[in-house]
Amino acid sequence: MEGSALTSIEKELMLGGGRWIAEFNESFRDFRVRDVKFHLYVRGKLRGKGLFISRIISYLFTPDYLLGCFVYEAGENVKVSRKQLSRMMEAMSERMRKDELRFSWLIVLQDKVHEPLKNFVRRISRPDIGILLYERTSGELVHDRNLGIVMAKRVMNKLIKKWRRRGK
Amino acid sequence: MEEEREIGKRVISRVQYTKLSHAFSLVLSTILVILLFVPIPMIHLRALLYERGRLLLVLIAAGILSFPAGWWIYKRVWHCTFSYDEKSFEFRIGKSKVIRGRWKDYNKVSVARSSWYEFSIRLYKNDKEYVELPIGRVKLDPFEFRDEVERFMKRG
Repeated sequence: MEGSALTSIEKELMLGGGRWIAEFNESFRDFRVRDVKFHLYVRGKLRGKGLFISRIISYLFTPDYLLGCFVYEAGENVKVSRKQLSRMMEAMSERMRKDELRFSWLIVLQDKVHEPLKNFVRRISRPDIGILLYERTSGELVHDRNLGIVMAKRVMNKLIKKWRRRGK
Repeated sequence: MEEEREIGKRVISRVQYTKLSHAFSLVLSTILVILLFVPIPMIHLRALLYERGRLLLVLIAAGILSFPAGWWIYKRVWHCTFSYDEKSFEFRIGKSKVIRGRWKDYNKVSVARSSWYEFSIRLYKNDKEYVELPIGRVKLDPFEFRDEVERFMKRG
């Protein structure tokens, strides 16, 4: 089940709702940045390729930014602390500098999320990093006030509905 | 569709019908364009234009001729054969391009998608240098195959 949750996020980003956000065109599993291991890292471009008119419009009006999405899946009953989340964000920032990413998202999947961590994420409003926490037991999704909204709307909410239908 | 197994080696070689139809239409249109510009004596041209049976016969003959020629072009330019085992791989595209290597020479693998939604597997030697295997052309599931490649790399 764990593997399939990651695969469904990967597919949704590359082939599903993720296309409304960007052209996510490459994905890595078990991607290590310093001492943090992200279970999934998908990167892409904001500017889509398209065909004829959409290609021209995209070229004229969309900036050529690179962006990425990191997914961390905590083990069963493992709770991610605020300190761990900050470490992940630092690792992401480092990778963003290296890959020249303009924006990126962090999706954390875990069984139960601490209430203080939820409040912490709800208060975040960074212009470059969007954070989303998904609580597997309740199916609740918490996201930041800025970039997280678009990822929640286009990708995660659809997936959560799918997972609920399948009874995950 | 062809899939065979040598001793411990998996060989996948599947027909790409889109590319095959491209090759077929290419040959057919070339034959028709040539026919259009061939100076045919007026009497025969009239016969061709006014007797639908003969025109149909020419089109059928061109179509029949296009099949072997289209197949030959397809095999030469586009047909892909991928063979691999736990240690090494070989990807042939047409007659001219061959990508071969050993899994252990690479340390990272990713699934990549082109803007035409064709999937491939990228094998990285380092952050910049990589080899791309267009496994979408042999109709392998890229996500499952990536996991298989990771296992091969770990075994070294």
